[in-house]
Amino acid sequence: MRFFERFKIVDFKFNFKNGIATDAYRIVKLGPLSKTPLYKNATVGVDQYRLLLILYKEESKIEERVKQFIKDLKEGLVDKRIFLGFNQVLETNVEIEALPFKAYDPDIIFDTFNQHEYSNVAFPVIILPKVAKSQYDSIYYRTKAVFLAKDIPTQVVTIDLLEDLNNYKWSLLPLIVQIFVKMGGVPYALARRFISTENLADVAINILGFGLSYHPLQKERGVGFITVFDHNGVWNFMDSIALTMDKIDNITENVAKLIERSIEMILHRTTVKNQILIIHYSGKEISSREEEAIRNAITTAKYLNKFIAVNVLKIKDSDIVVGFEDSPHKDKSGKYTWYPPVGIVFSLKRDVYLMVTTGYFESGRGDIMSNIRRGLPSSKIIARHREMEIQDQSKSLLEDRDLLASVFAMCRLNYASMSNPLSKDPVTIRYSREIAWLTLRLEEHGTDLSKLAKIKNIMWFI
Amino acid sequence: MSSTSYIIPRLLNNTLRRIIPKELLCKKEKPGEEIAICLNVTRLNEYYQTISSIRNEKEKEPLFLFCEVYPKLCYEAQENRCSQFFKVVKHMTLRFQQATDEYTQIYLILHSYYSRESDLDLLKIIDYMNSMGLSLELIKDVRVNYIKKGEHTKLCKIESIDKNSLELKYDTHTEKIDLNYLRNNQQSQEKVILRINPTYRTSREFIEKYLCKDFDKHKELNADRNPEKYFKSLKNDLEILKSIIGEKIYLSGVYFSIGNFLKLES
Repeated sequence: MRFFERFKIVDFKFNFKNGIATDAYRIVKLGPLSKTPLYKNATVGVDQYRLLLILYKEESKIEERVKQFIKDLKEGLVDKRIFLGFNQVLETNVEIEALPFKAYDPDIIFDTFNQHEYSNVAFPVIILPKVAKSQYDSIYYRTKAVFLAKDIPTQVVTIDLLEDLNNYKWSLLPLIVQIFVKMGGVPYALARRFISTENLADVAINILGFGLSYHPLQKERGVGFITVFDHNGVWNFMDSIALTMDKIDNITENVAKLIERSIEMILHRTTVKNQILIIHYSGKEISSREEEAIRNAITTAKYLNKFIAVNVLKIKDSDIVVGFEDSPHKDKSGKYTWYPPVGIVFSLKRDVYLMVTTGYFESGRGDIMSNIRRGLPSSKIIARHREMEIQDQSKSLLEDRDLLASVFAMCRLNYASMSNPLSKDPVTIRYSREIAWLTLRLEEHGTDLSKLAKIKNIMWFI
Repeated sequence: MSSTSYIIPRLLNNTLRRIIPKELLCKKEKPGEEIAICLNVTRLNEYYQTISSIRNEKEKEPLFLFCEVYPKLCYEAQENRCSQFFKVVKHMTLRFQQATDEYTQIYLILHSYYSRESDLDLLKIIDYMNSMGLSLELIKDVRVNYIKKGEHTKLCKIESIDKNSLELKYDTHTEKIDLNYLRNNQQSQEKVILRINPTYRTSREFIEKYLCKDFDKHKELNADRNPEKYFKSLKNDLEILKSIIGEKIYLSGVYFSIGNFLKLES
């Protein structure tokens, strides 16, 4: 089988405030791209924050570690190459304080935060015990939901991380970058559009990630959600809608409504006349019945014809194992691993592709590295659904290569891990569970997430 | 590739199910797996000895080295605690699938990994605890699956246990079960099976402490594979599979043979 395309990390560089680089770690020297969202919205922005408030349980044994955490955030680590300090990296001017709460109870934690005299300009960083992310009722989701309902994003840090000194020191930079993102900043974006053609210079390309998830405990309830990025991987906005999963018409109707709302928002936020929409949707939880509903929703949604083209890609995990006998990558003991290059794409059949997302890559200096430590490489199956597409039949604006590049580019956007140059999932579908569960939880408390002004405009879920 | 609905692959899959000896099929089917063969180390060793093309390639099968390090997880022995409850096996899933593009081909989809066969029947564990002079109180808080024919499996927590009875909590309900009744009921159509569910922290802690410290080590076997190790052993797995099902499969007057195109071009 011959490969169809090979995307290289070095061809998808990042744009920082003071220059362009291949890896995200350069933010330390090059500075974050913007302190406010790049799409118009005046209500969020890093400069609105004056304080990082570290909330932790009082009398706990971790007091010393919290003190050290604050010191490290303020002054950086002894080895400044690993971590320089919050304000130093992000070019901000925030104070950092700790505040103890009495019990691991979301309401008590929120009240503690809310009673602080500067809570209106404070960003909450909450220290919690480590729990499995698969637990819907965990303190993690419950606490996040209480703050979100008040339009406040949070950063959770686990006690385990504070106590694991080796992991801790490498986690500080990605941690503060995540906080920066949740404050409304843009740490970096792709230096240029992911498409190779110059013919579309006056065309804006939007990538809309769409997901549909069930409530983990109540199967008749579900949620549809979208996240929107531009052709540089710059965040635009999110939206969601409640679904009644046992009523197929309800799914179709509401998903169409969500897509229509999103299209209006996309068009409202730009002055570029010609727009293309690429929809990424994940097939993880979707049955054929729901897929049919999505298909109907996409093809019946109003305003889609405002775009000069709409392309639809279904992205799902693949269990195909790819090995490269000629791979130059070696493990620690010097043995060849046969890891394939990340970004290599095979054509399985017409409109169906396999993209390798973990494997080896060449660094900017030409070193052979990998974004997988051990185990088998992962890959995604990407299927182009032409039957849902809208486009002028006389010309194909985006080729398959461009559409696949949209997936690779979105895998590059990984604010949660600075050292990994390519995430195994594109950012458009990676946070399905986080978004779905918190949206459902808010709904249980009578809060419609899509009505929260601040939250809609930031990546609160990373 | 999505379509599995073509007739020939379906018939081939049905034929596979018929020709693979029952004792080689995995005891428990995992969701989405059509046909799965489970080979313990002893059986695997037999194949490596009898198939000439792989006779000298035992180093390519990681289970052999694993079983040297953790024999208790591989071989049966009376005095061996782990082997009463667990056995690590090579798990080979396979199915035929048709792909139609420019022309039609039928693929054999073969995937191998390592899994653990568990026998965590609560009655067996109670007997074991008694034989070792361990208090049954130690089983408190462990999570068990409550399995009854015609009902959904319920995940319960053991609220209390003594030599006569145990109390199970499910959601907000509590159910008391007489242990003698449970034992006598095992032959009945209405039998209730209680099996420890090792996914939960309390269950894992109990298993590690009192049954088998290394019961999760097979995960290392899976995590340690890279494509080089995977494909070298998969090549041999294919030989083993051919030895099990024969070089050719006969179906309605046609012989189907398995070709080997395990090679990528770059």
